Amino acid sequence: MNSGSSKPSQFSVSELDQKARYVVLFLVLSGVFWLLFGTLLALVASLKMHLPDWLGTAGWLTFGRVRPLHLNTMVYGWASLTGAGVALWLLSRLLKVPIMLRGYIIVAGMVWNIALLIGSIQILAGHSRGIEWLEFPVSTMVLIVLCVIIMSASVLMMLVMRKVKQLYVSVWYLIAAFLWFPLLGLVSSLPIFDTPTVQAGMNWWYAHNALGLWFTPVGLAAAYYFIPKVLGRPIYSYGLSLLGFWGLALFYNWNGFHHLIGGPVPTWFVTISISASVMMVIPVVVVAVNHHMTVVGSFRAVINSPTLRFVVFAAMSYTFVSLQGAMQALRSANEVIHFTHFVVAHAHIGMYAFVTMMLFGACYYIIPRITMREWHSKGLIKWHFWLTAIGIFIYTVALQGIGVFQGFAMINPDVPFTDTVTMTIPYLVARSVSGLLMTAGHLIFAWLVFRMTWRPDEQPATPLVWNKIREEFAS
Amino acid sequence: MSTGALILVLSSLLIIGGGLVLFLWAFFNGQFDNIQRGSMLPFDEEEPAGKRTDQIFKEEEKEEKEDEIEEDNERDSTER
Repeated sequence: MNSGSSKPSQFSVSELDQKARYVVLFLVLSGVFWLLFGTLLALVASLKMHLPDWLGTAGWLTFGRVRPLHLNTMVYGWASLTGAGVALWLLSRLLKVPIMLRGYIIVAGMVWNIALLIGSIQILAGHSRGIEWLEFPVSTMVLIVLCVIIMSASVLMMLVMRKVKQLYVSVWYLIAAFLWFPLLGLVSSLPIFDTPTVQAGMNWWYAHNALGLWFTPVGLAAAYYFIPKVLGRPIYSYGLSLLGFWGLALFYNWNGFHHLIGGPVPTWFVTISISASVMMVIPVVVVAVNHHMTVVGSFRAVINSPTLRFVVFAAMSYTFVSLQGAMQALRSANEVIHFTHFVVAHAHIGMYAFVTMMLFGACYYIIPRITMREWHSKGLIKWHFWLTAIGIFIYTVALQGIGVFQGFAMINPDVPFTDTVTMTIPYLVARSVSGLLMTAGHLIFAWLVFRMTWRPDEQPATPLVWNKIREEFAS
Repeated sequence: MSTGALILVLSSLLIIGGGLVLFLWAFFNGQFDNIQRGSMLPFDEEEPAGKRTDQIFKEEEKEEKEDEIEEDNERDSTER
């Protein structure tokens, strides 16, 4: 791929960014499309929780189809496609080689989008697989995994051709993610999980690992790159960061069965999962300490950078959601919160406040550098940040607050079941309001990305900001 | 134990085993020989450590923080 280069030994950062341009843009733009689609589905599903008759006459608009499709488009559309784009860009910069197999990856991205479209129609038509996180038909899932395998091949080629000897901690996370996810996807597609309990076991082994071994590594890799990069200050302790990575690699994989506490699965499965969930405190605290010690004292620089606003928010959410998860996995806590809105909010802190906010932050850094344009409006970026941050905050407080009361009501035999439902309605309305805030944020983000890519001639004519900073420091 | 459960346990062991193989490779490849040097990998001559990037909201504020950057740099050099 790089045979035509006159300087085969080293690529400059800007050369690498230019080569990454079309691949990363294509993946990110696809992701943004699915973000908007998934947001629409989320709003419909959220409104249906307190307006149950709304859009209830058409089968394809019922809650049981809209809500799973929301999850699947967000996970395999927005977070996976954009995450893959961010991951490939990070690897290109950190291994100092251009992204390999660029043409193949774009074709794979197209196939991926088509698979998502077919899968979406199938779910709306009622042909869901009926397994949470795996509602897409197996055909769609296998196509997506094959596309990821093409990217994994590219990643391994970049690793072999790399121009640096030592691997940065982000690279560790990303390589592991590109090896783990194909395994998860293929195993979960095997037609062998035919009894209900084994299927439930596979379900949560897959679903929890998809979060922990695919999205979490991409998110943490981005945090480990952007925090030092924007602050211009190396990570506090590189040794700690490696400890965090190997801790995740060792403990996370066993966590999934804590979703089945109280279920008819072997108790030792569940007990191993609970222990592993609590062990996750080690890598999480290690990452949190490391990020905190790097950022501390540079708060002004965090505020001044659109990237770091999102990235630091996401990194704090990661700490919060992971520690919360370790507590939730305990049998005594699980007894209360199982089957309540608390868990729904927990999942959204993970996938939204952590993964999605991290991807927003990464996009704010990457897109100007690959398109060589500056963002259209600083004010809109701030609106995007506050709308989404406040949105997910309201969402969390409302659902986790009422979730605890709902849980205690549900285990109290004196409370009629209907009461445990009606008591949540005001908080479900709050959830819809927070959803509107986040939707507004997403529309702003999509508009900014749209302006960046389709109307480059109308971008601000001022010199690129980072070039100016670079010149200042050079003089 | 059913085939499905067996496959799940084997896959989990494969993930852990893969991690161990990676770790051993890294160890013998010398990845952990000079650990602190790894923290400099995001930086290069074009964008060296000590230079902030992406401060696009800064222009709106007064140029008050120049000295703070220098302080940070001093802190970093003393730590190393």
